[in-house]
Amino acid sequence: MKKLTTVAALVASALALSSCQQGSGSSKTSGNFEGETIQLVVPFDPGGGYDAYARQLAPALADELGAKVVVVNKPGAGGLIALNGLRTAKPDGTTIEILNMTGTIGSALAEADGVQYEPEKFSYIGQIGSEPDLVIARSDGDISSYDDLVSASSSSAVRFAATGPGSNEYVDPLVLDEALGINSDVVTGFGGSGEAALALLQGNVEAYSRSLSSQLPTIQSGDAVPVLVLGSERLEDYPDVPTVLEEASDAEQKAILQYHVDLLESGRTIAAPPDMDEKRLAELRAAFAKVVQDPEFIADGEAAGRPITFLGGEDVQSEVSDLVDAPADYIDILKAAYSGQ
Amino acid sequence: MLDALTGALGEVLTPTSLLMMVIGVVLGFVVGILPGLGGAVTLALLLPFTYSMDPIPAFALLLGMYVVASTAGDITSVLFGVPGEASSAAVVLDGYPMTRQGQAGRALGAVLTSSAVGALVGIVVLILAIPVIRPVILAIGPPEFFGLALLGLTFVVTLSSGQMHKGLLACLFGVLVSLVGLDPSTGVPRFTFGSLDLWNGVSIVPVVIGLFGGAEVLQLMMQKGSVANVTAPPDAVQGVKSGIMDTLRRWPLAVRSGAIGTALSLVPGMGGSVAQFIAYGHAKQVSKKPEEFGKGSVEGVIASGATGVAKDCGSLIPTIAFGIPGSASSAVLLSAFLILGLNPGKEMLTTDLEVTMSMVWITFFATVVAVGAALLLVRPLAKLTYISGPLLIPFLILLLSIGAYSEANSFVDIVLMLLFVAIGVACIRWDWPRVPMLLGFVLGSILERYLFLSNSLFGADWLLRPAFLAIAACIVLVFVSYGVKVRRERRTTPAPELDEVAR
Amino acid sequence: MSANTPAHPRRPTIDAEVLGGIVLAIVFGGAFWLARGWDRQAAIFPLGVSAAGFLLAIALTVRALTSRRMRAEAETPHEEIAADDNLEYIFQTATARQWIVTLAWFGGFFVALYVLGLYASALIFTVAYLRTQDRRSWLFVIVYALVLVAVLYGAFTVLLAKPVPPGFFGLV
Repeated sequence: MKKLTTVAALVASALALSSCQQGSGSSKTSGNFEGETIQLVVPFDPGGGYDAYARQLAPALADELGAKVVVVNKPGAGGLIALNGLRTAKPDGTTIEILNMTGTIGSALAEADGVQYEPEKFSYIGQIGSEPDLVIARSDGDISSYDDLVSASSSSAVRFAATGPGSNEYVDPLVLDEALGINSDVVTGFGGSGEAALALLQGNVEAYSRSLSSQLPTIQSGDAVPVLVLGSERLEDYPDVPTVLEEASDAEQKAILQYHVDLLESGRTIAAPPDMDEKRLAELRAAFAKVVQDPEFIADGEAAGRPITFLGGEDVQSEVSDLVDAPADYIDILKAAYSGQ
Repeated sequence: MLDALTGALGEVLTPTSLLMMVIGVVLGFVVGILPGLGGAVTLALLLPFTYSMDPIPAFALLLGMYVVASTAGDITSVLFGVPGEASSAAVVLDGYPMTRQGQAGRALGAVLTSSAVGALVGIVVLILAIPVIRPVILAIGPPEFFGLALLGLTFVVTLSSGQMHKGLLACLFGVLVSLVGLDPSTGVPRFTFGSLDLWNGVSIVPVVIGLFGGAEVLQLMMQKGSVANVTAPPDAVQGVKSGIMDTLRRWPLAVRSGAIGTALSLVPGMGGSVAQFIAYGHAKQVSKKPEEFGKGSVEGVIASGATGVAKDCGSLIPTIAFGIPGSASSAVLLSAFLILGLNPGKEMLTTDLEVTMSMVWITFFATVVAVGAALLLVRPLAKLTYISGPLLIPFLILLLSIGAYSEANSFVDIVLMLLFVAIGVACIRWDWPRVPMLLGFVLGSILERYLFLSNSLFGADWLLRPAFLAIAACIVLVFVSYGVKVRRERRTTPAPELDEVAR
Repeated sequence: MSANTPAHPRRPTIDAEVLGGIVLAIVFGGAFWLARGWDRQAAIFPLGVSAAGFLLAIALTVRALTSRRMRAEAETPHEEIAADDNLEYIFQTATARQWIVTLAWFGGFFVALYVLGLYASALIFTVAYLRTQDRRSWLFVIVYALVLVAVLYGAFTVLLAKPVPPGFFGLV
């Protein structure tokens, strides 16, 4: 016991360095959060993208507010436990959460089991990241462009990999099927996205759709090629890859795709419980805006392959109220995706 | 290739890299010893510090920490029966009984040495595999995982210790527990009893802590002696050397177990906590004294210890070769690659080979430093087991609760842990084997997942894939060898136990 | 300690086997019943597992019941179970009072943990347990408890900023 303690003490200094999320004494604002402890909840396991964004944000936000910001992982039920928890948390801003908007809104629209919150009721502090989804295919396979994808789907269903019902990986192919007529078949049940990506490289599935930044390493390693962007604009680095919106042929298709893209690009946001105290919400929003627009902060995120996109809290709030009003066709797709068809 | 290896050595042996490695090793020690604080979280915490570093010192810090955490996790497993990391669970099975018999020093010596041997195996595999690794990884898919899980399940026969019937039942119960949660292919909540907390399934930490650690703590509370149930501590504490010798003398076992650890983590899919049980089952299968397993067999300790670092080496391989992380920890390492401006993929095996090789060296040195330091610490640590039991109780009970709570920060896991304490105690009291239950639990959901994936990817054709056929042949071999063994035993022992022989 | 170990009574072991078989049959049967209504893909594996488990559990019960009579006649004690394995030995020989006291302390801690949170319950439990069960002096007990809690607090709350069980009232 004593030895354990000495060992612990020995590294105390080293660890203290590593977890310096405590705001330094010289805080820039002397607001309401001075000296308080804010829990920044991550609804997923440590190690993923949301965790990384949160851990990058926490120390900077702490500095700005003069508070202590602690990252807390609350994985469970695909994030639903943490979301339901946010609904009932004390609305004073000491509990905030990083949200996967696509999942948050998607599962509410699909009326999935276990949803107890209403997405538009949360108090949004702002958006920290937004990126399109990207469909990729194996480099030395038959599909290397969108046209190949279409022609492949005309002979037999194109197989997409997915980790589980309700994920973007699962919803995207269904949307493509419904709106663009790309005959697709979702192979689901992979234990993790690494496995799903590997199945693509092994040639066991033909296509795989998920967020841009997670696809990039596989593309950059030369093992996969981008095929289609599920976003509003083409990618800077791959200007030849079309977006879904360009491929829509009629207004009805376009409406569904536009909605889907908007939902995907609502991205990763930081939110507080419903009915937040106005003053404290405003202060959080201001601090967040300052931190996330800081060039150094943006550069750090960029370097780690996690692009930072800022959008203010009010804008996110109104965007969410628009998004909860989804086209009926789209809701049907979501319901199919959540029930595993 | 050799150039890269020596060049990388030069890069690693710089003062900055070495300093970073030592910091990493020290951190890894703490993280490993504290239950519930996994390598992945700590890697995520350390990541921001690498922004301004050069690649090699940065990897020295991260990998040094990561690799050592699994070694250090074994220490709490041996001393208190509470695994410090999920991947140290199997060490509890024999390490803790050894401690109870006053052989903590020997058990720690053996587990640390075998961890080092396993690391060496992992490193050698990593180096040798570089030219062929990509085709190998591309050839292994869901059918092979299904086969491997089935192969692992055959160890139930051995692990039931002659109580086949009960062993099978325990194993099936374990499988049932592994199915709790959302079904991976349809999203139906199964056996969740209306609780969202069970949607993600039951994680291994509360199960192992409950089944093994909890029962030990209760027993210590009843008995009120020290952990080591021997009054005079003669050579027990000094047994470190004999533990080291135990491992060195049984090096083939350590090497094989290390190879199992590396091989099973080579391709993302099986997960970090399976290899240790497969290695353990295998060790019992080939052992001359299988009856000692679970009662303080040093062979069991060696086999499960050797998989620790070896599996970390294995899981690095797909991250390096494809940019595909196989676990949460390697996902964090992948973002370290990006921060440092490295592109995982073919380049890491050709033009950037030196960086890959430096990772090999870091793993090597970090393990050596950690095992060396740990061996020096073993004596004082082993003395802990002679502290009066009641004094340790508050400490142990806290270890149990923090260990169970920390993974998901959820009280539900503590409740689950208590449920498994009850099951564990019942198993001990009425003589039911606990290990088959654990085996069923770690393999059950894998079995189901890859059976369905194989079917939806390949129809029935997967049954004829060469790699799967090879594994199937191994399974048949296991049963044949078991049959031969039983027959031989029947011949040598004239009156076998009537009741419990399998039919 | 092996030589003078009293041979433990046979009957309870066999009864336990019967009981264990019945309990497991109920568990597996219940699982089967729950799994019936699910989507086919989700149900097929759990149905198979629980059906197999149910049959095996029934078989175990039947076998235990029949062998019970056989054993009563030809009793070949296998003594060695308890000999070396003191864990089993302690659980089998503990008196009812020992069980109650131990479980009360153990359960008490976790109830406290749920209500009061980690730090408060660690403090109270350490003091109470060592004082009553180990008869240590007040001074020792209090210093020990404070050091333990301080180390915990330092490690988890200060250094790692990691949440610990907060208790019902969120005391942490």
